[in-house]
Parts: sequence; structure tokens; C-alpha cells
Amino acid sequence: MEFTISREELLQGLYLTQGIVERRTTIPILANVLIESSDDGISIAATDQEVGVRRRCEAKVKKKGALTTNARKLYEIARELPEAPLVIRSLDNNWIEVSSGKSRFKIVGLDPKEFPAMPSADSVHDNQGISIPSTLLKEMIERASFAVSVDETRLNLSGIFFERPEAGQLRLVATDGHRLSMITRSVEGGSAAPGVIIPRKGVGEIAKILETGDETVRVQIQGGVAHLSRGAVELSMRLVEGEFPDYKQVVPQKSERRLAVGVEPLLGALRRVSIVSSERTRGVKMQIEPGRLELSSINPDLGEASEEIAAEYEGAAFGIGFNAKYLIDVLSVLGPGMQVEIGFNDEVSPGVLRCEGETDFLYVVMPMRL
Amino acid sequence: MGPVTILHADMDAFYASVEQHDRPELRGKPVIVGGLGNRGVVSTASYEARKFGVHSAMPTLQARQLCPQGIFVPGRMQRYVEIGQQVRQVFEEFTPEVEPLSLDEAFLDITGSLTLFGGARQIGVRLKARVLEVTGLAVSVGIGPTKMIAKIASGKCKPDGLLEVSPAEAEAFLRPLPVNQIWGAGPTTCAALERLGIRTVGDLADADPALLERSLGNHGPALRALARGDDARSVEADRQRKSYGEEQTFDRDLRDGIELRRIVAAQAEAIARRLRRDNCVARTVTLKVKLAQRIGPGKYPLLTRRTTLAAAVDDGAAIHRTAVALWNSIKNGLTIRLVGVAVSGIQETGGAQMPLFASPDVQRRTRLNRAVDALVDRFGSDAIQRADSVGVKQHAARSLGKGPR
Repeated sequence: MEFTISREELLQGLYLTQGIVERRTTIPILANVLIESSDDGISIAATDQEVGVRRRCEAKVKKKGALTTNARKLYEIARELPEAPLVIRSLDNNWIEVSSGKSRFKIVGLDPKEFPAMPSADSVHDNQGISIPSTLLKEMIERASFAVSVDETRLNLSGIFFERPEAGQLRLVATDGHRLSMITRSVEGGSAAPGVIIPRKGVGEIAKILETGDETVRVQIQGGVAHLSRGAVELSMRLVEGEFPDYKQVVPQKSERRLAVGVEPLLGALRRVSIVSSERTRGVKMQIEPGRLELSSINPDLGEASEEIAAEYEGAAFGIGFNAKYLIDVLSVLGPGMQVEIGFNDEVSPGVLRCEGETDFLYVVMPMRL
Repeated sequence: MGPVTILHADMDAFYASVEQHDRPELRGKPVIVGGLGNRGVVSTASYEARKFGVHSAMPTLQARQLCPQGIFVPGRMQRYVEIGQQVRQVFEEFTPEVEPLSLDEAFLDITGSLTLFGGARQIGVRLKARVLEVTGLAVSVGIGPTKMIAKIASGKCKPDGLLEVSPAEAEAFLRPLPVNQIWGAGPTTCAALERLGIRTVGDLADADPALLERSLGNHGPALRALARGDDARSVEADRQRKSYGEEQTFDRDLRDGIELRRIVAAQAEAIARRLRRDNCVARTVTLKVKLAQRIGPGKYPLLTRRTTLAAAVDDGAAIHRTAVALWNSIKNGLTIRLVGVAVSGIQETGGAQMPLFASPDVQRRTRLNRAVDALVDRFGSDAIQRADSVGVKQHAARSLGKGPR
């Protein structure tokens, strides 16, 4: 195989593979990218057998074929080379030559026939796909992904629940067992469908392909695999097996006490007050009184902090404790100028946060005993 | 890690000394603190009482026979806790590295404080003076290069003593001691060592490791290392408890019945409250039963049964249920003189963060437990009890702070 490619195009293709290739793998080829010629150029692919990405790149192919080599090293080489076209060709015994201007690299490769297949559906049952603007999907993922569990033992919480509750709707739900974030938006096409769990690593890769621009993303769920395509990029990932908990059951039906407060003042106060809270639990107390909210934290090893902010609240004074991180996480992904409403029932029941003027986002957070 | 200097501080006849301090008329008299009922056990005997052969863990009845003129007083746990906290604060004036063993006993790693206070002995002298100044009580202090040596030293210099064993003196200090002074050398091990002709710590230090391993397994080489003064265990400040337990010796023998279950329920509730206070949950529940028929002077058969739960709990009802199931697994018709419940397999709950997906039943229990805890915090443990536990004395059930850790 031999082709000429612009440095920029090669970098773009390799960038998407960097998060997928395994750093410490027992299967050496999983650290590699597969480059194959196609009719109008080349494709660059990588997989860890759970998540796979493939991007079509413009290139002048002189000799068709395929090659595979270390993804990180090739990326580093391309990054350090000056802006000029690169020529990549395969040599005998799977060696690869990369040349640009007066630089020449000869690096080891492996037999491209050994490269594992991308995750693909294990059945042909076709599940209708949906189309969604990339900016919308990006926003939805931003508002859900921070709540995904990082606990390896809670596999069914280790991803975003992707559900179509009704035709023309997409809902993303994520929880780590202490808090839950849920966002629902209208999308084109697709009928109601039961949810699937998109793995945490896959969510990160989806976010990456949505980073810039605005194009339509096509999402298809089929036979245990989610498949996304956007422009020249295709992403596929094996779904998490397991049952997502019944999230509807933990959303309180009503809140007896309701507090309205601006995102920016609340976020700032939480960040400050939580500095002295215990590092492990990050416990912060909220004392709510008509017209005001007082945040405070006490750490026997360090000291204490408190801050008062203006808030809309009518009703009896009330105190409740939270892990500050759980509130900071959600406020950080909301617009600083927004106003949020937080509903409470008692100090051992979940708080529910909603954005003023939005009905399709909610965040449920369990309190702490302080 | 370089060489360390460890100080072991142990209050002298703690509960009895507190009583003598608070009630001057008891000073110089044989004071015995403990359960006063027929089945009571001595918690602490003053040095005056010890001359009569009275010691802790002895049945009170036996103590009365040995020392008829003794002054027997019930324990005042709250007061001991209060003084124990004052003592702890004094310890912390010398180093933050304090590992409490009980209310009245702690290891201090003073390695980092030596320069500041002018040496180990100086720290010992000043610590004794400060404890006396703050509490009016005497403390014995042992100083050594390992925990074990420090503890043996404080035991040897009691009461009101101070004994420093320098690293150079450690070998000479340890070698002549009887082998039962080594940590982990209980009666069974000592008997096995005796058969090998090992009687002193020196004998053990010189013993053939292969021979020890043959007769004692892995335990052998470990004991030999201790005998040679090799003890890498460091002082662990703020050590997490490994278990929580409550037990009670009855005034009269009990047969299987409602009363026993009530006592177990009260113990389970008390343990659960302590777990919740410490933001911990436990997975293993142990039931301990001492049978009434005597098998020797002060000796009764002891049965223990334990089980591990699917999920860790801090709920008294769950601990109670498990303990009762364990009781049912022990054969019926037994007459008992003591029952105790303990939990182990302790995990911290990550503070007091509540879970989202708890079943409604668990949520109800959480609410109930929280309300109960709030009442107990405010009005004391008599303020609220399970209806079927009313009348069960929980103070007596509390194993006076010397329980397992």
C-alpha cells in the first residue's frame, strides 16, 4: 500500500483513535490503527473490541492495500512533522515507511489481516435509527455523562441509558446510585424503543466526535451494538449488558418545599464553602429560610466556612445536607445565567433540581446526613 | 522507615481510680468496680483490692469471698468516657500519632516529638505530670522501639511507673521474660512451646525456625520475630474499629424465651446506633452465648455462631433478625448466663451519603433510625426503646469499653 495524505487530514483521522487504542494491552494489535484504501481515499480505524472508530480521510492512493501500525507513535510522528504532505507506504514484513520532506521513519507494523473487526451487531434485526443534530446530542450528553458511575462493580450504572420513551423523543439518563441526571429532547424519526446502556468509554468517544461543527448524527441500535455516524466518522460500541434501574421510581412526584436560585451565585458559593469540607465526603449544609439560603461546612481538621446567598423561598426554615460535588457537577453544565429550582420534601428524601423554563431536564440528588 | 520510638500509656486501675478520685472517702481502700449482681463481673479492682487477689474479669461473687471488706461500686461509664477523653487530649499534646486501645490506654508514636521535648524519657515524665494535673490520676508509661516492648514495659512498671527500654537494651529486656509475654502467645501456643522446651522469650528467639514452623505453622516464625524484637507494626492513629459488640451477664440463668430475645434486640439496636454514629455498616453478625452449667471455677462453655449478610447493614432490626436466626441454629432448651451480639466486617459508608435506589422498606427504616438517633442524642438511650426491650438495662449490656475492636 502507498498513499499521500495532508498532515492535517492524517492528524484528524488519528486523533479519534487515540482514546480507543489500549495503553496496556496484552494483545499488541489493539494498540494499532488499521489504514485501508478505499475508492476515494483511505480509512483509519481503531478498536479495543468494545468500542471502534473509523474515519474516512482524503488521500491520493498510489497502490491499494492495508497496513497496521502503532496508533500513538504514528500520531506523534504526524504531530511533530512540519506542515507538508506525508507519504506512507508498506514495506516487506509489514514494515511501514513514513516520509515527509527530508524526514524518514521506518516503523514496525503487523499483518493487517490480523486486525480485529469493529464491534458489530450480533443479529440482523433492524432497529430503526434516529437522526439528531450534533449540537443537540452534545448538549444532552454533557448534561448526563457527569452522573455516570465510575464504580467498576456497578456495571449497570457504568453508562448512559439511551431511551426513546415515545416516538420522536430521545431520553438520556445517568446515575451513580447517589444522584441521577435525566434529559429528554425531541428528535426526528424513530418509534418508541426500550432503553440501552451506552458504555462510559463509548460516551467519551461520542462526545469527541461531537466536539466541533453542527451536522446530523445518525444513531442506530442493533443487536447489542450502538452505531453512530457523523460525516466521515463512524463509531460503534458494544452496549453494557445489565438492567438499568427503574429511574422513574426515584423521581419524587412532588416537592413540598421549593427554592429558586441563580446558577452562578449558587455554584460560586458551593465551590467556596466546600473548600473546607471533608475531602472524602464533601458535605455541605444548606439552611433554607424565606428569601435566603445559607451554605456551611465544618471540618474538624480544618475549620469551617459559611456563605449566604439570596434565594426565593417561602415556607418554614429547613436544613439539609448534600455532597457539594453532586451539586457543583450539575450546575457546571448549566448556563451560568440560568435560574434553577430545587424541590425538597424532608432531610432524608431526594432533592430535585430543574432549570427554570425547561421541562425536559431534571436532576435528582440524595442528601447526606450531616 | 527509620527507627521509631513508641510510648504506651496505661491508666492505673482506671475505673477504680476515678471512683477514688471523685470520692475521697474511698482512697486507700479496696475498691471494686463492676457488675454488682450475683452474676456480675469485676471491671477494675483498685491496687488495695488486688492485694486480696481480686482482678478484672473475675466473678463479683468470688471477689466478695476474697475481699469481704471490699467496697463494691457499680460502674459510671459516662464519667469514665469523660475522663478518657481528657486523657486522650493530653496524649495529643505530645503527638498527633495516638492510637487509642481503649478509654484508658493508647500507643503514641513519639518519634517526631523527641527533639521538641528533649527526648523520650522527658516526654514520659511530662506526660505523667500532665495527666495527673488534668485528671488527678496516675498513668504508667512504657517506652520502647516497638509496640510490644512499650506495652510490656508499661505493664512492668505499674503502678505510676515509667520505664524506658532503649533499642540497645531491647534484647536484654526481652530475653528473660516468660514466653507468654509475647503477643499472640496464648495458653495453647505456650503449651506447644513448652513441649519444645521453650520457656523464655530468649529460648524462642534462639529456636530453630523450621522446628517452630513444624509445630506451630506460620504462627511460629512470626512469634520468633517478635521475640527477637522485630515488630514492624506502626502506631495507627484514628484506627477504624474492626467490630462492635454488646454483651450482658444475667442476674439469673435464662432459658430460651422472649426475655432473651428482648435482650438481644436491645443489644442489636445499641450496636446499630453506634454503627450509624460512626457512619459505618457491618456485614458479619456474631452471637455469643455462655451456658449456665459450670465446667470449672469461673468457667462456662461458650458457644459462638456467626454469619455474613448479603449486604452490610446499620439497622438494628436486621442485626436482631440475624442474631435470632443464629440463636435458633443453636439447639434449644439451653440455660444461659450470658448473651452477646457483635458485628464485624465493618465498612465506612462514605460519610452519610444516602442511596437513591433503596427499597421503600429500607427508606422507611432509614427515616425511623434517624428519628431514633436524634432522640437518643438529645435525651439519652433511655428516651426511646423498642417496646419489647423496655426494662432491659442497656448500660449493663455495654461491655464497659473493653470490648473487642
